[in-house]
Amino acid sequence: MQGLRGSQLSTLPTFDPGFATTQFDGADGLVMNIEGRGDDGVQMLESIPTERPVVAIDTSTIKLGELEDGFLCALRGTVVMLESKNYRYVRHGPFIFSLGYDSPLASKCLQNLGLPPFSGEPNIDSLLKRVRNVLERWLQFSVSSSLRDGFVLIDGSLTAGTPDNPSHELEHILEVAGRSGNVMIAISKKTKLRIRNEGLTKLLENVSHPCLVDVDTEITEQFPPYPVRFLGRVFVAKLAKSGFPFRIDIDRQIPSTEVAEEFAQLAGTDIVDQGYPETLRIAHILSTFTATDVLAMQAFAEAQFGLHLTPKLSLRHSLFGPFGTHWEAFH
Amino acid sequence: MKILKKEADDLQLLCFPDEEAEKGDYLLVKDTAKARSLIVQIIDIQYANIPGMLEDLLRDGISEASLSGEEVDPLKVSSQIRILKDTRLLVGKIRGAIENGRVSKDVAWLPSRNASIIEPMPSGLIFESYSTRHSFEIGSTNHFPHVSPDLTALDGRLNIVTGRKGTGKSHLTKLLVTSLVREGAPVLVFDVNGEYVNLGRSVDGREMHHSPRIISLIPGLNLRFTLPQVGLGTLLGTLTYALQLPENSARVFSRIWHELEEQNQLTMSCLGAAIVNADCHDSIKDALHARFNTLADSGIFTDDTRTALGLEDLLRNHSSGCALIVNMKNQHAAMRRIVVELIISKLTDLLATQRLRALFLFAEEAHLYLRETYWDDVVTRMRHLGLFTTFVTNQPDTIQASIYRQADNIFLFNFSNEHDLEVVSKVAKVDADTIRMVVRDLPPRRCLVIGDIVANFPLVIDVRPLEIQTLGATRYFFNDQLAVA
Repeated sequence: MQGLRGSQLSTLPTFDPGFATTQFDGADGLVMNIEGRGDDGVQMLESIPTERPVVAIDTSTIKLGELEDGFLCALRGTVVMLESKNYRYVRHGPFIFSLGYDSPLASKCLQNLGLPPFSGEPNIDSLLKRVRNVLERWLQFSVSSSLRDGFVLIDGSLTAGTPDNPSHELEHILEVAGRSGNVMIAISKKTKLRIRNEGLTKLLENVSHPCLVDVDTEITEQFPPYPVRFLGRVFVAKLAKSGFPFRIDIDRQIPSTEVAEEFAQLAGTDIVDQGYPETLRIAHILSTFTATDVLAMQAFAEAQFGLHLTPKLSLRHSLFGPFGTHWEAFH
Repeated sequence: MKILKKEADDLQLLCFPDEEAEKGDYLLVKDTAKARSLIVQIIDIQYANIPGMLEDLLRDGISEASLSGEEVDPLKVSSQIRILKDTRLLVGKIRGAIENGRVSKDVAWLPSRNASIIEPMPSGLIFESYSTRHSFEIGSTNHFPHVSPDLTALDGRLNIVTGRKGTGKSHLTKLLVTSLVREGAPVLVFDVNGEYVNLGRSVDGREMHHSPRIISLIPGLNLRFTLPQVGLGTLLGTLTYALQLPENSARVFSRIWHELEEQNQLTMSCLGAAIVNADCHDSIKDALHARFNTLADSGIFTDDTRTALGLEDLLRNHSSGCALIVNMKNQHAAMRRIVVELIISKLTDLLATQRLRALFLFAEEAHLYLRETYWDDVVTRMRHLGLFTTFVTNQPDTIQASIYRQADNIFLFNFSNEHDLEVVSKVAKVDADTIRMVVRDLPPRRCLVIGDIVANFPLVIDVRPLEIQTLGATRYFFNDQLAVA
């Protein structure tokens, strides 16, 4: 960071909220049509209260501004724990760092973080995902290895096998979690997987009672075994009455006969208002960067690193004025 | 501080947590490149509207209410977030400018956002413009312990002291009255509650050096007139306006008066007998008789010239300044009107005939005794004659709008009621925003002073304590309550 001292930082008009999520459900860039299936697979859930701890992990990244040779970025991660009916959290960050277009340097930095090097021109978004993944996996590993007989909830899926999201790390985390009696569950707010040209969550549209459907076979059969790996069994589940259905992945090591009970215990242990676990909701809220955070971090960068903040020129605004069709034109 | 926005004479400034600012404070926006400054007064302080603040506060609310947690923030960025949350928006009014070290009214320029330094305005810059010929200490501001404007700013002016009950109006009025007396001015106070009679006594009851110049006048006791002293015009005005004597009856009364005058028999006893024997319709006779009885019962009239008050002589004998306190405590409404009508008519006569140079009149709750036609008179004719009125009221809507528009000095204490604020915001000397935003937050004994007395730079002043006895403080049953006069 010291190398940036005195540089110019072009602040972005606003940040793209969608960028903060790095959910990957295995269907990035393609739309899958799963062959039709009947309603027979819908299994009702009756929640089972337990004293098992529930821990949720979420992380966020954001670009704070454009540097002459890259971007200034920030990263934050939160762990929320429900134990004895009390919610506690540990929030890490924000960590402010730069990602540059200098390939050898960026590659070296990633290597220092234990990530594989890359070749060719670096893609900042992709690099940011990798950095975020480092924190996320570190938090997941820490929780999985220290927790006993609990639920470990993460945002997204248990699918891995891309350069940004290598599978061996997740495999290791799942193995550690399993050894400690923990169940790792990934909940995806949004999925691109489809059945009969309809969204996956439509499967439970007409069911109001808590329930789940195993769609694992239909999905995994549609993908080649390499490089993308489904390390979790894929379900569509509704954890609360009249709640929203979500794609939920559960550690594949959990015997299929026990999956429904695990879901039922999760629904009975954590608050699942609207079908989404409270721990994960809090983790998301605490991780997300607000506009105030962005302003504060920009001010911090200006004070600490001597960056000169200048508003980024909006080309659309310059060219088209009020007739710019993009939202950016109004900022 | 940083300049955020300017629109007309409004200037918005961002104020960071380590910077001090209060409503009423003056700031200098120094444009270093142009070597001149804007004088800005803060009229409101708000939270800065920072993007994402709602989300941030909601998040804090959630975590404070049901979560305990730990922050691992090695870069200490959260301190920046706290700064942003506590950043304030100062709403200011541009009051003037400073060019070449002098106060100017040229504000038709825009200070640079980059090259401007914003700092508290040295109080001396405002107070330097005050004359010191007849200065008196009124109190202190946030940054200046002794504010001493000049009493000449009350001379020839129309003034208003207003604020809700218990905020310190009477306290300030007493300060103004005693200061005027000390500077040799003649003052007359219409004292509705009998709270000015001890202005000559110290808090512990001792007589003060100006005590002989505080003269309490009690109607019927030492405030009495003979008929020749009053004159037909004054008495007729009293009968017509204070006692609603019909026009026909007034004509008969004039005839009786002239007959008695010709016979050199202008006494109350002769007047009573003349009314009984008057050659007129019984209804007129009854009307005159009823009014005569009211006047006689009031005790204000006497045939004994030794006990009659010689107002002119009294004022002449106290040419080094005095306060005549007309104590109207426990007097009924008609009696108050008679007293006021007689005194104002008498004063007008003395002023018109140059027998009295000028007089400062303090009228508390004037709507209780001042007739409608006097309001316009006060701001026009009487003012030119040398009667300079200060109205004191806690009901601002009882003073006519024209008075607010023409007032030269206004001392505004707290008002929180929208209607009251709307009324007082008609003051021409300052914008309505200033009044609405500053006045509603004033604590007791602090007032917004507007007008000539502060060289037209509105000041928020903590009125200083008085060393005199201040009767009239709100009386409480529970003694531990803080009473503010």
